[in-house]
Amino acid sequence: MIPSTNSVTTSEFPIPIPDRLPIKIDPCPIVEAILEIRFVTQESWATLPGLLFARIRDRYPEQKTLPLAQIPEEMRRREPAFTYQPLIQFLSRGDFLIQFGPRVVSLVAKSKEYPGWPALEDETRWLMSQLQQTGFVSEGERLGVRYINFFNFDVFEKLQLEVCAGEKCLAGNELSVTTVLTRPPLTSRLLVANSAILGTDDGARHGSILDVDVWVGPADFDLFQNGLAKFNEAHEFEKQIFFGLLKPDFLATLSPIYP
Amino acid sequence: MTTTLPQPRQFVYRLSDNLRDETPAFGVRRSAPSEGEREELLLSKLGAKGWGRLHHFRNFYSAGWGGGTGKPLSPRALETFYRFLESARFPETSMPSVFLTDEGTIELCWEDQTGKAVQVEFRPSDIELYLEADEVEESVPASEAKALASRLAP
Repeated sequence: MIPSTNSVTTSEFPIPIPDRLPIKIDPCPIVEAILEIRFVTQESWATLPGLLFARIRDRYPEQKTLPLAQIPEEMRRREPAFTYQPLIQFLSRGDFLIQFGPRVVSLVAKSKEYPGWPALEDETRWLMSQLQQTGFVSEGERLGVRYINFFNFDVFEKLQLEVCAGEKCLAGNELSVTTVLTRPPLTSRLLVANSAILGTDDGARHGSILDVDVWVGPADFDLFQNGLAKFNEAHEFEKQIFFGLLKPDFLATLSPIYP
Repeated sequence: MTTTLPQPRQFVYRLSDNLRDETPAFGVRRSAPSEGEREELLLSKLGAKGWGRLHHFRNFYSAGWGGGTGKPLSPRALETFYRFLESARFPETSMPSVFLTDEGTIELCWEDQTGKAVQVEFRPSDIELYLEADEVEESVPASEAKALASRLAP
């Protein structure tokens, strides 16, 4: 039976927002969840990993240098595409890893099974507390939540989203759609593609991606004052977009559990 | 010989060959949302010189610039600056000059219609203003950037 979930479409926002959102679906399509903080600092990159590692080493004892770190700092600084890229990962034995770069720190849910928002929120709270104690963040620049979902079939058939040329819809072909949705102060970039390759420990899988990145800009948050609340708002917006896109009969097949 | 730069990070997925955008390999990148409008705004209000200076401040002035003590550009100050520019109008005889201060704030200077200096400093949470004509110095909250721009318009 399809649950009686109503949705609201406002004239400004193109996706119908369900009036209630599940807290769990099965199978869960989330393959990666990332909470990201972009910041400015007055410290040089050479000192930053040591400052952060000193605070997090009990939970994240392993370090892994990423390939971009091989490029000299001067070259990295001159290439805008690298500005917010991480150079190092801190690995835990648990569900998360931390990615760190000269202007970015992010918490990534790495486990095969998404641990749920409360766990992610708790770990974020802890990480922000450690970050605050390091004292190197001068100012937050962008705060974002990104969820990447994978389906092993053409997800466009299951979405309230169509791309049409004239009166004919582009269905069945390889298709990728990227769009930006705004609901101030939140901005979201939505990417849906029906031909993507997912890298897993067990090899590559072919299917569809529904990638939602939501963020707030520098004037709309104060990292250590209301950062966690803004993460919550961004997460809520991400869920509204995700569940708003799903056709109700498809959502019903995912055994949604509501709060 | 050509070399390929390392991937910035290992993404959990990649699009299939047919869907993948090859433009990054040719130095073309997608703009961030509203980036295009803001570039246009800078060009129209500050000219090519002002646009170029701000581009440098954003991308090449990291911590320690200018002999070791300069702070990087404050993202909040930059946001306030853009909001001011959206509503700003300047005398046709005076193109504003833009500066990055040691504190990482942005200063915009021009001459009013009588040739007197107007200086506006965009800081993370407020805007400092100096009007030579009235010998006035004052501070207004960053949230009033648009209103201030309208007030200062000729």
